[in-house]
Amino acid sequence: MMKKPVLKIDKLSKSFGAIKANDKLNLNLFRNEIHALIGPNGSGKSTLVKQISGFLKQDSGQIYLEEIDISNYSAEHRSRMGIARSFQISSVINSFKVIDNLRLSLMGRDGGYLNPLNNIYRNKDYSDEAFDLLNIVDLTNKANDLVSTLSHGDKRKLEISLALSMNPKLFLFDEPMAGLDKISSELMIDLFKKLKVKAPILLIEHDMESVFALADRISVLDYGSLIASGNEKEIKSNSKVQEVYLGDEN
Amino acid sequence: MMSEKKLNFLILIFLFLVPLFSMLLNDIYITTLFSKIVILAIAGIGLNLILGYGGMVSFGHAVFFGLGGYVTGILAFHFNNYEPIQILVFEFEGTNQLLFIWIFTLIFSSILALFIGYFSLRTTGVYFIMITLAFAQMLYYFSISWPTYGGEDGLSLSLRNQIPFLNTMDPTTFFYICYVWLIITIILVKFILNSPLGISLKASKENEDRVRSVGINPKKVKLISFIISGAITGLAGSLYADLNRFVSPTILSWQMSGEIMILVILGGMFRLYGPILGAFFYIILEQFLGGITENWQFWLGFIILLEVLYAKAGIMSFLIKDKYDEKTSS
Repeated sequence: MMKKPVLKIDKLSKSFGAIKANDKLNLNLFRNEIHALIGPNGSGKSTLVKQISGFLKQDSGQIYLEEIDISNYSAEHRSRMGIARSFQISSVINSFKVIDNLRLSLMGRDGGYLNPLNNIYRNKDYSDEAFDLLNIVDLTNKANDLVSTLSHGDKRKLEISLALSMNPKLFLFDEPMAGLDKISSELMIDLFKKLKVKAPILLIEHDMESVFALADRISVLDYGSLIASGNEKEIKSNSKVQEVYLGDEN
Repeated sequence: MMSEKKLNFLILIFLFLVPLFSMLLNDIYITTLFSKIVILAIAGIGLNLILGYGGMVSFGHAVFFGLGGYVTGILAFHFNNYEPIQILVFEFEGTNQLLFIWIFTLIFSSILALFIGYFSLRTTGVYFIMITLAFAQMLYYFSISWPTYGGEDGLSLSLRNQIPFLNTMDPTTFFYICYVWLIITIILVKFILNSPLGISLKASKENEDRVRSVGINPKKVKLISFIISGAITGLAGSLYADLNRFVSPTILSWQMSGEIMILVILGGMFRLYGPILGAFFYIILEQFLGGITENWQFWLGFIILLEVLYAKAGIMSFLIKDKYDEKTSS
């Protein structure tokens, strides 16, 4: 029996004027896998993530989450359905404490965010769950710190914990290793290996060492089109990929 | 220098004792003056919910203030004239009962805020400022051209509206009515700021993408907050009409919107009690400088200029220990 994808992208296209950012893209993401998306700058990787997460409307094509067509759902609806994402540039609420960022995401997930009367700070369930999530990313000791005082690496971790808080069906991570030092990257790689059991990961990453260490499958984009898809060995030996992206790196 | 909690407590105690000072100084005008301060503070707290905590620069909040005033004036006018209010084929009796008037004010202000917010929140930045101003100006000119309710001359109330067993014509009683509403407003906004709606609002001000990515619709959050803000400001307008026993298009003007915004900025935009201090200093400056020079607004402008340049967090930041930084608002 054929495996059913958690995420299915069907002939997705997006143009900005004359530039085709994504051109009839097809892509699947299966359970327990990390699917890395690589390609030169401007190849359409982030545009794809924005369309999947609902931050950008596609021109044509369909996006299915567990066989449900979510192509016309809003970004917030998709988030509540379990599409959890991180941003290319860390995007957290800097003026909040670390734990309050998680309180925000937990109540967003549960949908009661328009309630004007319940005191969110007294919700013990949210506090407990927030600490559990911070524990996963090793940020418990900074729970009450202001996010604006966190290091870049810690902000990245916080973003991962926010993604985790959404009861994710899949993760979309857009360059999560960018700006991290070697030790932090290694910790992140270990974390992602654990996370993929919880939900599959679509990973955009330029750090090829991390990609090859993590990805079960790699797809390569160039000028908005998919030029190759396969495992590490297949990608490394693909001449077109060598030409447009890997070059003499490998 | 003191803690913010202590200062807030002192502000409330001071206001509570105003009628006593007024009695000791044998000047009942002080109580009336402070009724105005309390009413403007309520309007300021209403605006501050969306301005300080939500980052929505509404330059048309006088529309709610004025609507509250006109609802009060119109209901009282029809009660006094024994003429029903006609809306299409329906007829309603006027009333001079404040409890009903407040309910009507809250309902009408909320509906208007829903309408204005629905359209205004499709825009951001300078366009949001302009569209809120445009709505307020529309109602301003409408009120001028509506002769039934006095047009440009406004509408006088022969007596203040009533609450059973209370003499609302007594300045002290009316002051305490306003004071109770101030306390209710503070409690309500404090609840909101600690609620899911409140933290969603603060987060939406800073980072809409993050908010959307955790399943929150920032437009809905802003719209609900806008409605609450409009309702609070409308209620303040209702009290203002009763305080002056007069309502005119002036309270719908852009100058009125500016006044409410100025007192919020003056007191401290990101603090719950900021607008109270702002209203206090605004009215005192108006009285004090107004007694010295006709051009008191020039000096007020100068003070605001200094504040914006050197004390963005408002007067409150001079009086409290825990210096405010917008980055620590959670």
